[in-house]
Amino acid sequence: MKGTNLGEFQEVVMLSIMILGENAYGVTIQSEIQNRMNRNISRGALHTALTRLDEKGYIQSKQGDPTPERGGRRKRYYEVTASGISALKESKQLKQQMWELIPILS
Amino acid sequence: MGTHPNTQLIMVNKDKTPKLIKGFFKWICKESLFEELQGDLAENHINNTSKFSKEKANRIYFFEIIKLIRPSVLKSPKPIRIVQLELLFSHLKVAGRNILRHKTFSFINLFGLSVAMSAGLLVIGMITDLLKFDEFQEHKEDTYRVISSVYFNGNNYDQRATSPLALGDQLKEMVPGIQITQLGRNLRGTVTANDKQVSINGIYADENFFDFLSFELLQGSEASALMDPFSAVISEEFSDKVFPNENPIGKTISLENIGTFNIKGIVKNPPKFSHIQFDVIASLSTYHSLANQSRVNSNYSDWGNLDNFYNYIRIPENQQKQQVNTWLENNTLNYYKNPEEFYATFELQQITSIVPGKDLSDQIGPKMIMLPIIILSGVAVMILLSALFNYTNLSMARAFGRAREVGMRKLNGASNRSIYSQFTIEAVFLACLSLFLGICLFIAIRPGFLEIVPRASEMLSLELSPKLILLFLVFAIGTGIIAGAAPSIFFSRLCSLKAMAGAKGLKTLSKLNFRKGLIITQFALSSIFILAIIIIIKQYNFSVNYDLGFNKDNILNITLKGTDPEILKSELTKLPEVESVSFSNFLPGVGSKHYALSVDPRNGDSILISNMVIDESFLNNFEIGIVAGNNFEKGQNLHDEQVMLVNQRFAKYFEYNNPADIIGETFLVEGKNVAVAGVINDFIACNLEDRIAPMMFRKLDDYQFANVKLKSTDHLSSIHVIEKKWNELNENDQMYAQLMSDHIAGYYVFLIDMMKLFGYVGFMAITISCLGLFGMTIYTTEIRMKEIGIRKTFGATSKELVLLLSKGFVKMAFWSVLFGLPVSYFFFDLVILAQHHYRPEISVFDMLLSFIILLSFCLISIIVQTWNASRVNPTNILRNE
Repeated sequence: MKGTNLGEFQEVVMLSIMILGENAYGVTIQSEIQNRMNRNISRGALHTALTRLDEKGYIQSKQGDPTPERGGRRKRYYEVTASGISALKESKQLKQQMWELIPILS
Repeated sequence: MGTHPNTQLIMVNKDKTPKLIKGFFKWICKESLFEELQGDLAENHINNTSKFSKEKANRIYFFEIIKLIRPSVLKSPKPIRIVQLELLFSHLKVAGRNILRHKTFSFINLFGLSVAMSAGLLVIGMITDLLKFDEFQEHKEDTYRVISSVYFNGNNYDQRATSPLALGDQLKEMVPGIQITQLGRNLRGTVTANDKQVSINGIYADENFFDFLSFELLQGSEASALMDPFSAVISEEFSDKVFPNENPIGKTISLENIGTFNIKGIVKNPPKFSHIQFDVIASLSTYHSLANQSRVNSNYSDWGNLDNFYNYIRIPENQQKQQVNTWLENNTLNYYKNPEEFYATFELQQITSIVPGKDLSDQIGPKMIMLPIIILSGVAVMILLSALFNYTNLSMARAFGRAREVGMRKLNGASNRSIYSQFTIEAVFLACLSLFLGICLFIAIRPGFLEIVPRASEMLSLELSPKLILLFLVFAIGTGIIAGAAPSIFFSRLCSLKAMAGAKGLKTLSKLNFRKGLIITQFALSSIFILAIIIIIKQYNFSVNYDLGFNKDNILNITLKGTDPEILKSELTKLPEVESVSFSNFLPGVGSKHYALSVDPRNGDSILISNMVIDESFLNNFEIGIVAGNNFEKGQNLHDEQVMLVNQRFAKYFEYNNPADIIGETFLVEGKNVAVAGVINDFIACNLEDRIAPMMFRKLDDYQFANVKLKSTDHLSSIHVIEKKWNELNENDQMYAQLMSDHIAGYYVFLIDMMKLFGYVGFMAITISCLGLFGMTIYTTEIRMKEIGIRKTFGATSKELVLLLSKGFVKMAFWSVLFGLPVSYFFFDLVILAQHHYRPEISVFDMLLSFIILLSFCLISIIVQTWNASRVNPTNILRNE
């Protein structure tokens, strides 16, 4: 098992999944990140991030029903687990605390 | 979900990602991930296709796959793979050793396969070249041409690539949002420009020409270059030829009989693989002003004119295509006033399916129909089959020698599958070797092939591209797998114990029937080739020597090229070498049909009748007799048609049993009443492919050829004198003249070319089958060596042994001829020669001849080997017993 610290990109992926809610699968996550961050990411990079997150237990996935689009292949829907949410919150808090410690800005 | 069935159809987006890349991805990707990832990529691909071009979407897909090559996606390598790799190397090594050890076997197969490959490569190259046609068009997916079917009296007369100009104008109004460009053909003649004279082959086009057809205008304005009457756009090549180192824009070119054009632009040369070819494009509006000056028929753009003009449409939206189709189907008939007499139907043809495509008349560019490709592919398949059969046969015949090897491998634990793959790899290895030789051969015969096949050099390049080589490689591997299939199955099923026991236990000998079958098919194919060559030689001799019904000796035909016929005639008849001069619009015996609209006086129906334009000296020159009535009178006005001549067939067609009865009858020809002045003997006016039709002979101002009858048989010096005279009359244009007899021989020269092609191919096919037979005799006699030895010690002579050994093979040759001849007879009788109306019969003698040729080939290859075998000293064979 890898360490449980969150990379920046992984954090973005998790946040996107949560924004998308029910409709979070490969294509939507990819386009969400592209639109929001204005940066091109490949499906391969996204796949790696999703695999890592899955290994850490922060997200879980289930297969959807076959759809007539995309050649009848099933989608895999992702969802952030409770431990994922708490890891996100922890990361946010950590950063918040550090922000507050910066003397000039506060 | 939608309730209408159509909406549901649109909803289903098919996965249109490139199959090759997808297959590769499936191969490398973990199975559990493939469904999800490919699904996502396919969805993206669909989105991208609607946003960008298809090519870009494919490119994005490709790079996505490349980026997906990472450890978490890839299948984990199986440890067995390394062993398999080693096995592969070992198989390759064994294959190489086997090829070196069995030199005869390898030579026969290498030779056969490489010849077959070169033929197959030619066909593949040809087909890929033809598929390239019009692929450069950016909007090829939604660009169409309107084609028409013409009906007279309710009967389909022919299918044409043309459509009326009025149709395009109407269609533009009916379906908004589509783009139309209208073209015209036959911009031909001699052009004077920059003090030079050149002949051109161009087209007419309207100002929308550059809107969606991908021809690039280098200079000038796309929107207006072809707007005004008498504007022209010239190709780069034409510009370099006529205006070297000058800017042609604003200069003029003048085309004989039509007028002077202002050059408004330069267009890049049309790509080789374009069905629209031109060196000059003239504005279509020129036609309009010509019509205003009544220099062309003012109804040129009417619905009734189905000659010369083309409508090209771009339909960007799918629904609009439906709209256009229904309009073409339902509404066009309304524009024909007398549909029971004449009407036309229209349909769309996608621009990429024009070449190769339907056999339509009035094409704008080169025409390539599927028939020659099908014949050539058939021939290539035949040769390939021959070579494959050789491989199969010889490998099985070798079983005797290799059974021990297989048995040994099996006893050591080799599975059926590994034996199978060993033999397949051997075959593929050999096929790849022959591919290499085949490509060398392909490069060697390519120039000859391009020359021989009619118009091939115009349309094909057969250049080796990486894609083509990849295709070839796939082809070679496929060939190898097919060739290796039978031996692989046979050897992999061998029982190891029986294999070790030696030849007696082998089933090969009982499989002899299978092999015999292959040999018989092979020779049947060869007999087809032999008969084909005999038939083509016969047809050629027949065509050239057929009594055409007119005199073809001592006549020199000169292409007029716009020279005034009267002046030419008066000048030429002054020469002592010339007996007389006549004129015609095409040459008898080598021409194509020209039709004129006429009316059948019996029932008032309009009919098309073949016609030819001649003058009063024509009949004399060609020694065609008058049956009844008189010839044309000498001073008859060319522009006021009063009388015409007809042939006997014409009189018979209109039920005048006595030809004299038709004299003085009038017929409505192209709107004018014309009386019949005389009836002349039937002669072959068009060519031997068609039967003699009812014909009218008219005297009009439409002469294309001067037919000069020469006094002496010293043609060369006469031509020289005439050419001198011609040069005085036409300073810049060279004389183009040919003897009538050469014209006729030249017209059928394609038969000689076909003979060469079939000769080459047939020779190869026969050589391959004979080599195969030779190999077979080697292996069978090898098996029977002991028998031969024993027979010899008991006193059999060499002659008897040869007879004994070759008996079986001769029987096979007999069977193959028995199967092959009827097949080839029907093939030629019904398919090839059916196109010619006047043709020779295929006689029993021809069949017998091909039988004898084939049999002698067989016998030579059999006797050489059996003779050697029968002369072996029996003590050498039986020493070990």
